[in-house]
Amino acid sequence: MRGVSGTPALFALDATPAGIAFDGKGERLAVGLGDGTVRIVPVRGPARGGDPLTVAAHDGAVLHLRADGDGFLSGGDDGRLLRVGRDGGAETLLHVPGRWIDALAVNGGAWAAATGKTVHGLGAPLDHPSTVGALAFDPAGGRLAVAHYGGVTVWPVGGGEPQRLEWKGSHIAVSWSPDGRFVVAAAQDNELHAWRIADGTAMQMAGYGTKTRSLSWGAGGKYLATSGADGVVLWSFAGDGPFGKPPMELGPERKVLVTAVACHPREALIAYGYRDGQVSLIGFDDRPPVDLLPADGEPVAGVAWSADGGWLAAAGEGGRVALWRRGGGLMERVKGWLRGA
Amino acid sequence: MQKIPVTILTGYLGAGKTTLLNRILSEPHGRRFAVIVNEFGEIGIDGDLVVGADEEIFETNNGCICCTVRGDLIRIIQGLLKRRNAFDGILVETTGLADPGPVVQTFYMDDEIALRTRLDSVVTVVDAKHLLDGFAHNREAQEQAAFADLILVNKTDLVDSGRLAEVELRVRALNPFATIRRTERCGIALAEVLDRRAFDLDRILAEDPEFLDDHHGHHHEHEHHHDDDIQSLSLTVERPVDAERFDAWLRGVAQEKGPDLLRYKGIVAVGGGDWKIVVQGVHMLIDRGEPEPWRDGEKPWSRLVFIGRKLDGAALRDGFASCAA
Ligand SMILES: [Zn+2]
Repeated sequence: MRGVSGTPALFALDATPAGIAFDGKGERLAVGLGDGTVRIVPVRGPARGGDPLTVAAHDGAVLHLRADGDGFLSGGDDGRLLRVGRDGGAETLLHVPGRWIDALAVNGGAWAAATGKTVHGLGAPLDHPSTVGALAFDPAGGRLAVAHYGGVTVWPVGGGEPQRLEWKGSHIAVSWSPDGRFVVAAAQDNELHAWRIADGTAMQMAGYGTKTRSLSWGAGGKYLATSGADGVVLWSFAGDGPFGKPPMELGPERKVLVTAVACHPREALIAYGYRDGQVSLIGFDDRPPVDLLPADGEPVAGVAWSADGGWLAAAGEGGRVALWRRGGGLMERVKGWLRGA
Repeated sequence: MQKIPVTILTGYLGAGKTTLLNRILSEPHGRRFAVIVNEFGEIGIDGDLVVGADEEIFETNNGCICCTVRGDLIRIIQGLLKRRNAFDGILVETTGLADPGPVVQTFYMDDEIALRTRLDSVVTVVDAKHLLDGFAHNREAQEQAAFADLILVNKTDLVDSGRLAEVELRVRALNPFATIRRTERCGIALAEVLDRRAFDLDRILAEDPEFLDDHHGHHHEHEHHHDDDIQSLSLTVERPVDAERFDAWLRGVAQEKGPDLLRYKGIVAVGGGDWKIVVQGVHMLIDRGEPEPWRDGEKPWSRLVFIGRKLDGAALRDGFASCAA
């Protein structure tokens, strides 16, 4: 990497990113693109500094990309789900001709993918009343949440009767709290719905300016950071969850909608991107954000930390990808700032 | 961000919209289209990027029956935008039985779609031979003509001139602001179909000389029609209106009658008559421009046209008149 301390390494890709993820070891960064390729950038380890690898994965566009161990899973509009290995080799896990991979979830080697109303990957295909908007395994891997019109269906991975979590409207994103006690889904109507799994109690989390597409848990799962408003909206899930508690609004002053959020895996720190392309960092408190990357007019499509928190990456819809590494000036500055220096 | 133009093609079963679609795709205009079709496989589509859609109509959480969007379109367009370098425009072909309302509203109510695309126009193909029968029996056939910016009266070779005139009169009575063109096998210059900018507020007048012409609409409301028939109503106030009162009144009409209002457009004189405001709407959605000076040659009148069902002409006329400054 020619990226130096404090300034990011920048890549200009000639296609629209659909997903960005570090592999499990943080050795490689992958970007899935609208031209059907997966670009893999060696970040550290033996291949560090080598050229990015271009994997011609799909006949069409990549729609979803997830890390899977030391490789990646990529779902495309050619109806294929692929496992892309660290060497760039691709293996087809699922092919549903004529359909799109509409949603994808990965957990510890297991995967689930949706085409239309059907979820594949858990034994026999599972059907739903409407097109599946999003999928998420619970952190223990025993349950799969399927978001659709009218709510979320929770399937036991090993088979059995599902739990139905109901709320009117189309659900387009879904996430489990790291302790597995809550499911949160984002709806088409610019609001979130949260359910306490133990008793099915539901609550509405409203006030967004657009759809929430990005959900990220921070501080060991005590907080949920969300996109879709001016600034980052942070909900507390400590104790009984967000029932009756207003969220914190972090950094709303720019008056630009946030499109992607990613909580640092350990520290109270959120990297996030705006609709105009700016990328910033903010803590879980009132201090002003640190701006990492200026706006370029293209919405930030994704922000990701490596699992150890040592690397940060962001991708914009125009193809701009930025990569920062810890230990350089910027991360040191952020650590100092976190300590209040 | 460059917004991608979207053209909606509608038409009752057999009217010829797939013929029009294939014409758009095959002519040498140098443009690349992504095509979203509903009737996959019925007739072959010639494009490279053709996606089949299963109509999924989503209600929004206000619970209103007209405030609906097409969830399948939202999902497909978001996917297509991942390869936005691969096409210059999107064509949406609806089923013969589709209500165009949720399709049109999708491009206004979904913030992410509205950011990245621009609804250019609704083009409706009608069958000259079967139109009168279709209008008499099918709610959707009327709706498709009512929502249109451009109506192709197709298969003109199958009817005589008297019938054709009757068909055009019926279409005009239902939709006073659409451009009507006679075609055989949808033969029309593509320049007339694409880039119409029919939903741009500043094109409402420029594109539509008939809009300020006072001949349409009035006669029709006295005709006999079924309760469920779509009709149009043109209202004129020859004095400037009070902008705030007009806004409040139109919002009230949209809230109360939204499900029965299909489309409406208006140009009203404000600020003592020196300025105009342009408005358009679909059901409860109102798109209103900022005040701007009249252009040369424009009559500084206040004018409003509604297309809808169960329009209470007297109440709407009185309401509009009460907005006079
Ligand atoms: Zn409504």
